[in-house]
Amino acid sequence: MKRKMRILYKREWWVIFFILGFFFINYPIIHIFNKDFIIFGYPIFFLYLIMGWFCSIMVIFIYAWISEHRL
Amino acid sequence: MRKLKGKSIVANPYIYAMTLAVYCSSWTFYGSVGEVTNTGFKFITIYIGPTLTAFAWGFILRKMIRITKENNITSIADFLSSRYGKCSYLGAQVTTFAIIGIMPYIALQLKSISTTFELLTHPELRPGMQTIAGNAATNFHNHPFYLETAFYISLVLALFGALFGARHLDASEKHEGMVAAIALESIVKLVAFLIVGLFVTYGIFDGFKDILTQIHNHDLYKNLLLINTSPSNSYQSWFTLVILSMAAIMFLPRQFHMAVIENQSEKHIKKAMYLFPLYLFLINLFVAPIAFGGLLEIGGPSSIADTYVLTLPLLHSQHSLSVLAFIGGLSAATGMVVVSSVTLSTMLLNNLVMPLLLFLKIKADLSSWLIHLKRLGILLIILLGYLFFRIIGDSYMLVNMGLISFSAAIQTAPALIGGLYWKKGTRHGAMVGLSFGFLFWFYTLMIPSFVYSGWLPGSILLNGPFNIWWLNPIELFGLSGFDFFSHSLFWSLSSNIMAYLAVSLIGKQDEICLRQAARFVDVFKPRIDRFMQEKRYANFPALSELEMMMARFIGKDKAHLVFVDFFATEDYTDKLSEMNDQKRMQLAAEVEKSIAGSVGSSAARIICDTYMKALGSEMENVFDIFGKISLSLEASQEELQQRIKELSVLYEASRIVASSLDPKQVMNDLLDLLVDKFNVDNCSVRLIEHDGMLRIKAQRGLRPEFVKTAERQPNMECYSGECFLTGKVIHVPDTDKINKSISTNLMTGQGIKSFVQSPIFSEQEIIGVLSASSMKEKGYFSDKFIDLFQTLAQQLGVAIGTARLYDQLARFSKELEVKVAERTIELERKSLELSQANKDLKELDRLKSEFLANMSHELRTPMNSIIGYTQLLIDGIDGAINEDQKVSLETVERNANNLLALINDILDLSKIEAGKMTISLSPISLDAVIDETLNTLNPLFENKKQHFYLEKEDNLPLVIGDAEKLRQILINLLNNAIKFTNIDGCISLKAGLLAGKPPAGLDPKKRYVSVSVEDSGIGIKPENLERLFGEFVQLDASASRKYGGTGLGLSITKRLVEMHHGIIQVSSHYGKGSIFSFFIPIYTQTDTLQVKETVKK
Repeated sequence: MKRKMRILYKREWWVIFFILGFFFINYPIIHIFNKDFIIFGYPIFFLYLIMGWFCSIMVIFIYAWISEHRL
Repeated sequence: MRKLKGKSIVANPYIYAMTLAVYCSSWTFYGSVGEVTNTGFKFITIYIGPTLTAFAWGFILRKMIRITKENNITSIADFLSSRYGKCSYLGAQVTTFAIIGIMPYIALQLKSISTTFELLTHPELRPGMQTIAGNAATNFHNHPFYLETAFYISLVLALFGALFGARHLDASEKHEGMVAAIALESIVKLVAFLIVGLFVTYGIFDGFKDILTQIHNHDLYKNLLLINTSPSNSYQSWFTLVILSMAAIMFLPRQFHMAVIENQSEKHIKKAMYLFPLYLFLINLFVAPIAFGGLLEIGGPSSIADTYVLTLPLLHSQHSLSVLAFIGGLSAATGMVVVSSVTLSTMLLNNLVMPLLLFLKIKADLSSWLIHLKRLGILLIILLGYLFFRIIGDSYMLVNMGLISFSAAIQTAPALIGGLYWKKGTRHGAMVGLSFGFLFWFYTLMIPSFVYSGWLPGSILLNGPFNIWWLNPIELFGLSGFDFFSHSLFWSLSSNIMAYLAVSLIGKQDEICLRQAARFVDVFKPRIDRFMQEKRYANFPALSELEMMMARFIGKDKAHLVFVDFFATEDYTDKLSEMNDQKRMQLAAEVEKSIAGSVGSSAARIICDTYMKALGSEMENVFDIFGKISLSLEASQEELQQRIKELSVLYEASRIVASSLDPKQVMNDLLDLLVDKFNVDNCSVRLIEHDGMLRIKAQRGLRPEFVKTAERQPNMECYSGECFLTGKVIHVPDTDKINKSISTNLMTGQGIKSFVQSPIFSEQEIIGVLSASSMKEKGYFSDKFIDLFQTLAQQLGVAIGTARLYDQLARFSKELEVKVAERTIELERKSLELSQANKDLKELDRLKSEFLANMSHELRTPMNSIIGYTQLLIDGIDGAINEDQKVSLETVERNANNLLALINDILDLSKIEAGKMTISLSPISLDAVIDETLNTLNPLFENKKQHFYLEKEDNLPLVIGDAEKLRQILINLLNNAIKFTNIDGCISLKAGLLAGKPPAGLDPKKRYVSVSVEDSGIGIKPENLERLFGEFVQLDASASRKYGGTGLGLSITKRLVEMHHGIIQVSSHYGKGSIFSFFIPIYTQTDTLQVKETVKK
């Protein structure tokens, strides 16, 4: 388990997530969610932005936490 | 106080994350809400962008912080100027652009504060009072400035700025008071916004779902839930905003200041990376609900939507909540204005004012002035913002004003990011890039702003200036279809980047620029500052003078502290003489760095350079003889590493070769090495044998059946044969392409894909083939490996050759041993035979002597009778005889006597040889012996009338001898002398103690008496001297007849002397005479007296 965690220390992961985030927040990916569609009572675009944003914060949190605690 | 102790209350990651939230100004607080009513969710890009950037903070921000701390950098302008060779022009340029760029942003804050203030204080302006805020705002500008709220707000904010950001001059440009205040305002604005948000969402409405559903069902507002519904919220503008906000969080001067300059520890970054985005997430969570709520409750144009945060509580008579919202908005605006003004004031002071003062050569003590200048700068910046507010305050929504500043801030990005990661980026590249970027920014954003505010004619935006269509600021060069900001971003950023790259690539960097580039780009690499090693100061100033100079800029106490820190002692005044060139360079750098903390790096550099030059202290080069060597080493480091690897394998191979003389073991070990180090699948050693067959003698990984079939006479139809016969290395990278019938079957049978074979040489002769092959891939063996492989084969050849030689040597040695043993046995046998023969001979000799002795004895008896009777006849006893008879009888008698003498001699000699001669040794006096002998011989001398002389020492010591035998010796010698000396000749006898060392053959420890007989006779020829003492020796047959004698005398004499433990010598002068001497030992008390001794020959 610890070995697997160590793989995540690599700086390249940050670059990958950075690029992934950039793609997810831009056209054409957002075009997929930019629809007049209600899901669980919420507009899908609103949900996508809020959830996506929160998830990316969680990703940073997890990685920062791992590298801080040196699992 | 806490700060002095070294641990600051603000030095923790939570405060750090909060201070970054200065990003959320009144634009966030009010403007986002207004933006939603216009473009839907587009506002969110301004906050998701920074979240994305946070991913990169781990390396970009950390690097910027490290560089800033190492160089005592005070601002983003300082950062750029320092990176590009501490260039004051670049710093000034960045500062100017930043001040112009920030004006709309400060104006935005002033607008929001004054608008909301008016709303709170003038109930008639509130929504529901049938007027709109936009109108109210328009009305403001009808007043002179001294009646305007915004003007007084500006003054108050300037006071705040001076209080928190310019209380005193700090060398490191850290403001803990300001940091604490900003952290607090961040909490206030978040809490206020959340409370208003909760009130609107759950107080006025029934939660998110309720508001969103209502909007979704609202025909007019339904589109706000989507984007790309109008040009203002197109995907393209969405993209532009993401880019702008990503850059803004790093490169807005205030963000740079809070994130980089005010950072207390690099460790804080990690927490801030998620805490700050989380803050943004929370503060934006209720933006949409408030905006939609406002639309549903109040409606109206988006300009009044900016104030929904305030007006919604007011509408529901929640006055305290609206006051809370105002405080939140106020703190957001105040925070932004204070930090921006302080930051820009620092930039203004360090990058514009200081270089100017230095240029003007003002020599006053600047340290007390600087703080006032800084406060003045803060006021100036805020008033400039106010000026912008006065000019175009009405024509824009808050968000748009902010975006103009964002677009300006991003212009520093190419030079800054390039400066962090690209060493070739030059000062001119940065300056030209920035100029282009700023020019396009100004033309495409500021000019339209002036048009909208009515300062410039509207026709510019329709037909272009002077009717030149392609110069239209919003459709530059005919680029249409873009929104306002995307259009501007495209032109400004692309021209900026291109100019930066192109000019950098064309231009050249000077020494200081190169040095700074390395310091920045390689900040995390341990490095030796070459500059420090290659330069030195001629005429370094006195330490007290240097300190005084520093004090002018940073104050006396701080200057003193810097010196104390540097020397680690209070008493440093005499240290200058102990400092070497490098230490002096370090001190100069430290002084410059400390001054840079107050006045910025470019000004500090000018200050220090001018000061040093004024003192006649200039930098000069130090000759570095190793500079070139180390460079070439760096270049070939990879090569060296490769070489080391090869050498280690060769070393291992040499060890194997040297460790054993058993060829089998050497081969096996070497093959193991090949398998271990190079992971070859199989390898083998073939050796040629006496029957001319090439056989595999050692192998790894080959199948047994292959080993058997591989045995053959070398021929060109297989690769090992070719290798053996030609002596060349054979490398086949792909076995599919081989053309040798025998090899094809073998290779495919083994599944070999590539192989290499090298001949094994031993003393110029090929003795075998070393092979290695890979079943994994084609082209497995590189050229470098093949070289190494060849060397290994050579080593193997040497080892096998040595082993064979050793083997041969061992075999020869064994054969030799056998031969020696055989010879020894033979010799022993022969030696035995010889000793037997010797024994036989001795026995024969003895028998002969015995026979002679017996015969002599038997002859003597009749001879005595003959002589006796002959005498009787002569004497006439048996009757008278006549004269003739007498003569005949006398002849008979004489011959009988001679015969008897001969028989006696033979008898003596035989006795000696047969070991039957006995002598009795006793101490005797030689005197007596000599006397008796002379008495006997006297008649003979007289007969021949010879002269006889006796020379005898008195008191001769006793000798050990047999008196009778000694007499015989003397008689023999004297007889000889008489015989061979003519009539009237001389004969002498000498006897005396032998003086000096006894002659060879005698015991040197004993003392001897020497007796010699000298004559003047015929002498002896030198060639005859050696055989003189032999038996039956008569040197001359005629002499024998003339002088008579048996020839046995000297032989007997010699034997007798030897029986006395002595020796006899002769010397002679042919024709003149001879000397015979003998030596016999004297008697001493220590001698064991041998009364009777039998001497055997």
